Parts: sequence; C-alpha cells; structure tokens
Amino acid sequence: MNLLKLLPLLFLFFAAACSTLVLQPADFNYPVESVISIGDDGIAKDERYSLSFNTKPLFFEESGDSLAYVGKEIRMIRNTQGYYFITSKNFKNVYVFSADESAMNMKSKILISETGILNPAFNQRNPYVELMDGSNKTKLTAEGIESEEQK
Amino acid sequence: MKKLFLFSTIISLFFFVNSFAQSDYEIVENFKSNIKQIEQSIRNVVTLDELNEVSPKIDALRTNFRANKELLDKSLYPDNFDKSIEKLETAFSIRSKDFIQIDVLQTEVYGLREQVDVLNKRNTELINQLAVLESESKTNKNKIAQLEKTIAELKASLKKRDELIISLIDSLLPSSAISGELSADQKDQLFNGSESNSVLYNIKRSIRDNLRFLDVTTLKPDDVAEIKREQQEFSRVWKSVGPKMVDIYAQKKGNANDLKEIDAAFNSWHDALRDEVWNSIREEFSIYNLNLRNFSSGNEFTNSVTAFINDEIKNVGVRDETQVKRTYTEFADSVWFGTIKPQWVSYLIDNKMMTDAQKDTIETRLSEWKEKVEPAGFNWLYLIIAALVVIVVVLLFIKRKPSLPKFEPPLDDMKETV
Repeated sequence: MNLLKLLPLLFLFFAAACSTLVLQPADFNYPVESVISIGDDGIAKDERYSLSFNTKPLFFEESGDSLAYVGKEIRMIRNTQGYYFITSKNFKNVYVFSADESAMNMKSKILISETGILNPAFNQRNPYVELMDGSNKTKLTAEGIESEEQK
Repeated sequence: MKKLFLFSTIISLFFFVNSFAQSDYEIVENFKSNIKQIEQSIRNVVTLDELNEVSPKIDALRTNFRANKELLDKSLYPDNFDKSIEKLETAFSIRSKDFIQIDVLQTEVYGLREQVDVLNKRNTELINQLAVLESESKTNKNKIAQLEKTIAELKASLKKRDELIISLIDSLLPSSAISGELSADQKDQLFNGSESNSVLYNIKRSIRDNLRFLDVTTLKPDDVAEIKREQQEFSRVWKSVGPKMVDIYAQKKGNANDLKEIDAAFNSWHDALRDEVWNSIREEFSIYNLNLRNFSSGNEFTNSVTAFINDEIKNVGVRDETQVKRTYTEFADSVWFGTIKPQWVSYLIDNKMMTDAQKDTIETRLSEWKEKVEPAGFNWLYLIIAALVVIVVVLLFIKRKPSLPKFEPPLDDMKETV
C-alpha cells in the first residue's frame, strides 16, 4: 500500500533524471560568409571562427578528383539552425553539413547548376541562406532550394 | 598624393554604385579596404593641406556605407561601423595636431635661427675686441675697465646664444617624439630641420666660441660654476637628440663625422673648463710671483703646493729672513687664506677636483712652514698684554679703594637717647 503511494514520486524522479538539458532558442548564423583558401594539405582553416576541416572528400565528391582542391578557395556560411553551407567556384552543388564529433556530416547536397556556379557568394538572409551567382539569387534552406530569383 | 586620393575616391564610388550587386562579403571587404586606404593616406600625407583633403573621404565613407551599418556591425568584430570611422577620425585628429605642432615649431625655429645668426656675428666681434683689449690692458691700465665690460657683454651674449641653440635643438622635434622611437616622417623632419637651420654648424660654433672665451679670460669660481651649468644643460639637450641624429645622418648622408666632431668638441669644452679652473688658481699665485709647478688635477695641485712649501722650509735659515717671511705671508695669508681657500677650495671639493684630505695635507704643511718661519718661543707680545692687564687691574683696585668711614656716634649714646 505504502509502495503504491510512493510510485508517482518515483516516476517523477526518474523522469527528471532521464531528460536532456536543452538551451533554446539558439542562433548559429554567420553574419557574413567566410572565404577560405585551402592549404596544400587540403585543410580549410577559418581563422575568424577557429574552425578547420579536411576538404579533400568534398572536392572528390564534387569532381571525382581528390586533388581538385589545390589552389582553390571555398565559401562557407552557417545558417541560424547551425548548418554549414559550402560551395566553391565552378561547383554544381551547395553542400550542407552539420557539426559532429571532430567531423562534419553531410545533411544534403543541393544542385544549383549543371554548368557550375561561376561566381558564388553566400549572404545571410534569415531564415534563408542566399546564394548569389552574378545576378542570380537562390534562397536555400538545409533541405534544398526555397526559391530562385533572376534579374 | 592627390592622384592617389582621386583614384581611391573613384574606386570607392565604383564599389558603392555596384554595391547593390555585391555579396555581403564584398561589401565588408570593400569597407575594410577603404578604411585601410584612408589610414594609409593619413600616415603618408606630408602637409596639412594634403591631410585636409582626407577629411571629405572619411565623410564619404560614412555616408556610403551607412546603409550597411547592421551588416558591418556584425561583421567587423571586435570593431563595428561607428568604431571604425571613429578610429579614422582619431588618427586624422592626431596627425592634424602633429602638423599644427610642426608648423608652430617651424615658425619658432625660424625666429630662433635669425637670433642665433645675429648673436654669432656679435660674439665674433666681441671675442676679437676682447683679444685686442687683453693685450692692450697689460700696457694701458685704463683699458682694464673696458676689458671687464667687454668680458661681461661677451659672457652674456654667449649665454644667450647657447640658450637659443638649446631652444633650436628642442624645437626640431616635439618632446613626445624625443623620448620614443622615431617614425620615418619624424626622422625626415629632424634631418631637414637640422640641415636647413645649420644646427650642427651652430652647435660646433657655439662650443668653439666658448672655448675661445675660456682661452682669453681668467675666470672666478662663480663664472666657472655658471659656465659649468650651461655646459651641462647644453650637453643634456645634445644627448637627448644627438644619438638619434647620429643614426639619421648615418642613413641620409652615409657618415656621421659632424656628429663625432660635436662629441669631441663637447669633451674639449669640458676639459678646457677644468683646465681653466687650474689656470685661474695658478694665476692667483702668479700675481705674487709665486711660481708653482704646473698642475691640472687635485693631486698635482697638492704635490705642487707641498713641493713649494718644502723648498721654502729648506730656505729658512739660508735665505734672508725678511724675504722668507714675506714669501710665507704672501703665500699663506694673501693667496691661500685670502683667495684660494675662500673662493676655490669649496668649488674644487664640490666638483670632486680635490679631496678634503688633500686640502688638509696642504694646511698641515702650511702650519709646519709657519712654525719654521715664526717659531713658537717666548712671545713678548703676550708679556706686554699681561703687563697691561696687570696695570689695568691695579688701577681699578686703587680707584675702588674705600675712603675713610664717616663719623658714627657711639652705640651707648644712642641707647641713652632711646
């Protein structure tokens, strides 16, 4: 009988112990994109945000050539949700990554142009990330293209 | 410089017109690039007019990028839009003050240089006049007053000219720049100022004139102390600028011979003043034909004096007694206790040119000399004084001797009366 009376209390105790602490809302956006030159070792280092990662698999994924990174620079921006949008000149796609333990995991690969993006640049346009290519502007989310605008 | 401004303005306008097609990144980079260009312009301008041409550019930057303030505030961390513009304005203001200060200093330097030129001319005339008077005064005593007046005028004139040269050196650079490392602009300023105002020539000439002055005059301790003070002040100012000038002259002219000459001249001046002190002391003895061995240090002076005294002690009993006594009186009473000790000894000790022990050595030898010349025997003077004292006491005693007592009635009579 006494044990039955204590059950709700025990339930509350276990529920509290198992819940995850969540801090929200959180905003991860970069006000302006980072333009990062890739080192000879294939590592891109963003000095401002103290972030570095290996770009060789990215270039291999885009071009099938693991040495295609040489002498290149990438453009990267982080949206409000914390996803990294990465592309480079002549890439056909914008790659979206999430941060993981000592790694970046691809969430999506957004096809922008079959002929390649000639002059890419990201702008932060909450809640979207805007991709500019000359006068073309494309609004992106982590899932894909939201809208396209041509002038 | 004007072309650079025009070019950068056109570039800025071009970016501004095209800012609608720019990515945020390009806007931020363009803003940063404009800031850098303006900073560079502020650093590179060489006149106040050129600097004033930068001011509208700062205003244009503020106006052109105000629309992107929010983006720039976020992107320029740890600065922001306003802080970046404020930094430019502060740099502009500091540079502007530099030019105003330089302008003031240049005007001051010009005025000083004119005065130095006038005094240079006057001092040359006075030194020449002094040399003539110095030789004339030996034969014509009437010229002595004129000589002394000319010396006083020359001394005052030299002092004023030295002060002007010190001001001239001080005016070459703002005092804030002298203590720290000099920028390329400040080095140019110092070099040009020095060259256009013949600063090195004037310093050398000033030292040379001071040396000539020491050469043609005999100084009193007060004069020496005053010249020493001037010398120290001159030297202090030169030391604050001199090493920097050595570097600059080495860079600009490939040699620094002038500066080495100035350093050597300062040393000569310092030595000459020290020698002049000893010469003036020797001069005091020479007036009484007391010829001492040459000396140029406290030790040599002590040796020279004690050697003279030793010789004189040996002469006691050999030479004429009157002459021996006269030599002692002139040496001890007239020169040592009359002039050297009251006027020079404290100066020599204060300036570490002589020690107390050396002074005591000389005075001990003087006592020994006195003992030989005037031996402490029975002194008739004391006897006469003692006799006089006895006479005075006796006279007083006699004067005070009580007169005969007046008649007093016998005590018994008094009792009866009562």
